[in-house]
Amino acid sequence: MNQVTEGHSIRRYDGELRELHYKVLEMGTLVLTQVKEAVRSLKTGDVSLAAEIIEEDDQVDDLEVEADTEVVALFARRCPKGSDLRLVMALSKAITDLERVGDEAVKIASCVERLYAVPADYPAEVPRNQVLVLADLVVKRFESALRIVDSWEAEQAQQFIASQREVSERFQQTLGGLMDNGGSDAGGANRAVNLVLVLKALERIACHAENLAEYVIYQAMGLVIRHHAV
Amino acid sequence: MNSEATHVLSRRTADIVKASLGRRHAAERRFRLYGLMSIGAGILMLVILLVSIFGQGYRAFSQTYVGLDVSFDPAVIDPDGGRSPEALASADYGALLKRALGELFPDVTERQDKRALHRLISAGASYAVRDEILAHPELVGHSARIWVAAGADVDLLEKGYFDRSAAEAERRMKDRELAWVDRLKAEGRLERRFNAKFFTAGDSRDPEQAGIGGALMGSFYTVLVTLVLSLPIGVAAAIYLEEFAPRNHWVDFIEVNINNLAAVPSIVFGLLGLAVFINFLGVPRSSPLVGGLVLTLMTLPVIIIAARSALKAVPPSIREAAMGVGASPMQTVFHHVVPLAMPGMLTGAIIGMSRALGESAPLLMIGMVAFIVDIPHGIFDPATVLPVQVYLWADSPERGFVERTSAAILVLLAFLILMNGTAVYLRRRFERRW
Amino acid sequence: MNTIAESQTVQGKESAKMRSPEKGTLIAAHQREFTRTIGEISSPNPRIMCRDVNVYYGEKHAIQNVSLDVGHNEVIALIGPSGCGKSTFLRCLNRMNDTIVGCRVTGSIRLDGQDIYDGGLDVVPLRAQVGMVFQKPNPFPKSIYENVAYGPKIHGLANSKAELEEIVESSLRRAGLWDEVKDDLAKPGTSLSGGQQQRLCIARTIAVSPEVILMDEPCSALDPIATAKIEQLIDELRELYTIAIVTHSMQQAARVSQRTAYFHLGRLIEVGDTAQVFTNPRHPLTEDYITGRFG
Repeated sequence: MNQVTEGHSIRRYDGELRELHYKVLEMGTLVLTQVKEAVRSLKTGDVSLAAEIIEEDDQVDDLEVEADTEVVALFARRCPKGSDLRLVMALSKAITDLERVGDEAVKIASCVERLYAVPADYPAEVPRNQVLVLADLVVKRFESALRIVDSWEAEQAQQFIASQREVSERFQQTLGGLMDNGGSDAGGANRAVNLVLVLKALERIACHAENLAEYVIYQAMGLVIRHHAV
Repeated sequence: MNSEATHVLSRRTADIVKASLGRRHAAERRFRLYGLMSIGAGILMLVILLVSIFGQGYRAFSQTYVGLDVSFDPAVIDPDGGRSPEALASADYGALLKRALGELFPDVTERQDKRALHRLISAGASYAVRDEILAHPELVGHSARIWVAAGADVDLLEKGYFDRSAAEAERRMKDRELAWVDRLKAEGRLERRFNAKFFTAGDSRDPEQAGIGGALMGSFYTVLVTLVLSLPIGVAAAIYLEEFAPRNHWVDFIEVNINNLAAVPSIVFGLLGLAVFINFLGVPRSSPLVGGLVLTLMTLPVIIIAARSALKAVPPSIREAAMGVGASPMQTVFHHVVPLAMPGMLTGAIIGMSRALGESAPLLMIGMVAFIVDIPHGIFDPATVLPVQVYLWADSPERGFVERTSAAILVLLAFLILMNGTAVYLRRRFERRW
Repeated sequence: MNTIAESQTVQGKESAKMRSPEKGTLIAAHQREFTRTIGEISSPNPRIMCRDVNVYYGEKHAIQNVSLDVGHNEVIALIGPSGCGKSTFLRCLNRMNDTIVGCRVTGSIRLDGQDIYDGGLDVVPLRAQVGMVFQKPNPFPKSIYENVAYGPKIHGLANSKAELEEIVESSLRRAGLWDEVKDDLAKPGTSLSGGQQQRLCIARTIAVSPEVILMDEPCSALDPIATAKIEQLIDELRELYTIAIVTHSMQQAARVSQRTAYFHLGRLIEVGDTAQVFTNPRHPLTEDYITGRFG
């Protein structure tokens, strides 16, 4: 009994925590696909793909409900304490963030639908490319955030958060670029508004990705670093 | 293990269990039978013992009495006419009884026959007449029918111990004596009455006069001395050893010795008493005091062991509770532990007392086996005790002592049952749950 | 996909490194590791101050260098696996260990500045100041009234019968038992239910107006409802007394205490605010214990 072991005395407890973690990762994978497809639809103008994304969101919602149920069951049955308590809290919050990311992907998809509904309103190459460059960056950020959630490495999470400032600056630049290149022709307003909305959604996704990394740090170190510089 | 394997295993377990079930039940039945048999044997022995003792002893509780018309001749009783109690007490009542018998059987004239006739009544009968006169001095000068104890042979004949049909030479009573008894009976002068004297009289050489009164008082004083000495000393020693004594080798040594003392044969205590109390300290021999002292030595270890186990049985939580509110060790013990241990300690004490009551061997060594007629009136008077009395009577050659021995055993058993019953009652009454 | 079991938390990794028995035995590693208590042992407003307390049972070193303060109006929970010394430590605070043969205590334990192991100090007034409630409800086999009145009686706290009755009533009221027993004060204390018996024991303890109440797993023999009542009572008593409670239920420690101290193998491993200890323990042993990782 004085020997310290890695797992819980109740082994099923370990299984339940692992299961919740899997569920969050499964949700993350699904949401990542949504985001990637939303970006692709923006790139290719594939309106039907966009419609698919909007439909797929139901799956994410179902997963969210399932994961939430597991969280509640864990609290009721195990009364988690210490690092377990922080882990369940972190995963629970991650579930909410992932669901929001899914919502942002849907928002992008509906912007794509509106952008490509009227051929005359197709966005001009320059501003669209500016957004697309940023979109690729966001996908990459989100992907590595998910990888951190998977490996649960606090050091990586700290590096990830440290590089967030740079991303924010990129958003400011791109937003400025969109202002400069906003067309004045017919449909220009539609284009500009939707592109800004897409940009906003991408920024939200990047924020949620940062939150995911923060949760990992919270669990590992017991620190709340949200709203603080690391 | 997969579920199929467990299933197979559990089915096999059930089969194996079922196969051995018969054997197990048989073993249980056998064991119950053994138990019943041993209890049955015990009860049977007890019944045989009680039946044989009671069968022999119950007749001793009755006594045959002869009614004689005695004329209280003032010339014999009180020639001075002063009627002083001293004169009344010292008169020759035997002569009056002999005269009354002579009047009843005027044809008996031979000296030898007269002696036989006089044996019809107890040798102690004159004391009964004297007591009657002392109680009623106005009877002097009159005559009255007085019931006096019959002689031992008449008593035994009446209780059916003699076979009338045997040849005369083999009988204790001759035909002539039988004829006298039959005539007394025909005239209604022979009666069996409750033998109150058996409980009040002291010992005697004559069975019909012998009683256990002296032995009862002797036992009472002896056990009283034992109780007064051994209960406080034993309980105090137990409390000290259990609650206050430091745990060291000395205390362990004392503990071992107390346990050894409980196993020492009781006669050894008698020898010790003889050497120490009588020869060294000069305590009067045969007295309840020295008997009580010896029995105290014998009962102390029993009481100490019983009291210690009663104290040990008090849960430590009670001690903790008392100490937790700030009671001192003394208060803890006397407010809480001792009251809870009291029933157990008393039970042990009473069982020790009943052992003391039934003990004879050590008392033989200190002279309580002497023939003592007087009833003791204190702890310094010579006395004997019930079990020793039983021993003495069992040793006596007279036929009449056989039933008295059994009767004395019955009285002793009654007291033991009474004492053990008191122990059970006390335990029930004061037992508290915690 | 990685699993959590494979990728342990940062802390887990660090502690695993600490625990690796590369030099000497595992025990030696433990001893190096535990020499200092983690967390704030002192209290800004201390009632009891323990410094370097060691307890020996014969050869066995049951408590090793424990230093801990208990503050005014504070409930401190002592937790830890069985045999970790938490009960032994608790019993040092009112010298209940004195009765155990071969028990030796060194170091200093001060109650309001007075060293309670000072040779000249009598344990009787100490135990009146530091009351104790035990694991198993242990009312005296006497009436309810007698149970509560016993302490004040032996200490002479009441000058008259009326005063004694007042003490009994107020103690039972504070223990939340008055309304349930006011009509049966003559009934034996042992006739009450387990929870009521334990509250009776608490009433008996507070009847002598102690300053500190020690509780040794007071709810381990009670059902959840009775437990909740005792916990509520502890919360109320905190206004007047300093309370130290040993408990095996971590939930209970989390619910009733302001500070929690974790004992392991006779050492005080960690002490801190209860919320901190239960959400973010700083020592890996505490972490392992409260999360249920002791195998």
